[in-house]
This record gives sequence, C-alpha cells and structure tokens, in this order.
Amino acid sequence: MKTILIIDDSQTVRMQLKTLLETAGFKVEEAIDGQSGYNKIMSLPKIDLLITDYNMPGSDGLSMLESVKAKMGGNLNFPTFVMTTETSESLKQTGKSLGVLAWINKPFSPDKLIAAIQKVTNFKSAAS
Amino acid sequence: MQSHSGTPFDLPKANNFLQNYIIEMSASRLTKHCQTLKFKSDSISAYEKSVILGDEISMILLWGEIGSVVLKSHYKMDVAQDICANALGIQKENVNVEMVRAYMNEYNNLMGGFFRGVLETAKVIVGMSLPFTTKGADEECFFKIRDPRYTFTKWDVKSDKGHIISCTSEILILNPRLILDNENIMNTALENDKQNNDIGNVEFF
Repeated sequence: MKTILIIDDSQTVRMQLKTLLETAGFKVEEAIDGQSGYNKIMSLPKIDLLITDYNMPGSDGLSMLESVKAKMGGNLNFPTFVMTTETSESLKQTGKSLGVLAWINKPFSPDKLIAAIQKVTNFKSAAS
Repeated sequence: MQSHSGTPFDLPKANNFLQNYIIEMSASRLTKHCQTLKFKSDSISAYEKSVILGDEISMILLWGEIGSVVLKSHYKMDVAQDICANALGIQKENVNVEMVRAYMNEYNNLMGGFFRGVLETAKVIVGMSLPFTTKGADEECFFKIRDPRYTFTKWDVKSDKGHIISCTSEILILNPRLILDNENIMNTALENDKQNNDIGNVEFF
C-alpha cells in the first residue's frame, strides 16, 4: 500500500484528505505543522507522496521542505505537492526550485487531486 | 512599488470599492469552501445591529502598501457546526468545537489568500496572518475611529438553507490610488470566482 503524508494545520482539511485518500486505497500519515511534518518525514520508513500546506504555525511548508532537502543531501526523496490558498508566482518558483512537483489551489477538488496523485504514483485507485 | 498620484475623491471611492469587494468575496469564498451550500451576502440581520455577537470569531489580518484589512466571521456554534457537517458530509453531532474552529479558520484563510493573490497579480504585495479564533463582540457603537481612511463594515452571509454567518471588516486605506488603479484586475478575478465552480486547480511544474 502506498503511503501519503499530509501536513496541514487545519484539522478539517486533514480529515477531508484522509477520508478521500483512504477511500482511494492509500495509507495516510498526518502532521499538523512544519516542525512535526519534518519529524514525521525523518521517522517514516517510506513516503510515496507528500502533500503539504504552505501557511502553518512555526515553520511554513516551503521552509520545512528546505530543511528536509538539506538533511537529505540536496534532494527530496519523494514526490511533493504543495496545497495552499497562496497563488503567488514567487512562492511557486521557490517551490519549484526545491523540487515540488505540483502546486494545488485550495479548496481542493477531490477528482483533480486523485488524478494528480495517480499521475505521480502510477497508482490505480481502488475507487476507479 | 507602483507610482500613483491621487485626488481628494480617491479615498471615498476606494473605501466604497473595497467594502463592496470584500462583501461579495465573502459569499463567493464560503460557497467554494462548503461546496454543498450556496451563500449570498445580505444586510445584517442575525444579531443586534450595533453589537455583532456570535459564539466565536474567526479572523485574519492583511497588510501592505494599500493599508490594512481585518476580516472577521462571527458565528453561532450551532450554525457553523451545521455548515461544517454539510461540507464534510458527516452528521452534525460528529462535528466538535475544534473542527468548527478549523473549518471557520480555513474559510478566513480562503478569503485572505484570494485577496492577497488577486493583489499580487496586480504586483501589489500584501502580508497575511494565519487565521485565528477568538471570542467577543464587535461593537461598532463603542469603536468609532474618527479617521476618513478607516471604515468598519458589517454584513451577513446567508446560505440557501438559512445558515447565517455575520461578518465584519475593518479597512484602513493608506494608498487609495493603488486600489482604484487595480479595480479591473480585482473585479475580473472576483467575477471568475463567483461564476466558475471549478476549484482545486493543479499546476504541474
């Protein structure tokens, strides 16, 4: 089973994502901010996809990715999506330079999100 | 940084534009957030007209060259619980207080993020806080700042099933011309948001 790590400070967003992704056949791990997300990334044996928010208390999503990338020797070892209300081109460029694969606008569309996940994980959803 | 020269009429025009813009945006964003309910803006009616008092307030702050904007959503717990249950597709009794707070904060985040994104399209940089929850009343009768740059506005956002969220905004405009120069960009973005049900755009790099 493929593992997706969700990092978002909003309980309801995490809940919506968890329900959607588990129904689609993924194992879901959660973290509530940048710091706990970083710790979770370092502790999980395998991550098939990371979906992180940008605006979070403490460390924001991109700063967290920067720390992870530095710790991993300059590369993110898993595909990463940023899912946020932010539409700033400069933030997107920063994300791109860090190795982020896709930028997803909130509120998210379940269908578009699953299609994007399938594209990067070669995973056929249990629901499809 | 954009250059601008103003006239004495700019400030009231910019004030009026921004107040109406935020009122329209509040309904459009809540409709997008909820997906299962349709919201529209209306004049305030839910609570007393001079004292806006819900069980809790969700807030977000924006600031920058244009000035500052404080957006507040005052909600009765019971009403917000029902909106949240509708959105999440679960029973109301399974929605706890923390979920309501998270849901309403995300609503403010969606408003703030939209506003900030639209202005960034116009090359106007806006800072944004994290959304947060507090309690208390918004008391227009006690809180009158005698500054023409400042406006306090109150309105309701109502769903097609009778849910009411009372909203207030505090706007301080430092650069009215910057707002008026970008009216078209801002209006186009809002019209797209109101008319387009498409959400969750995925941009691959």
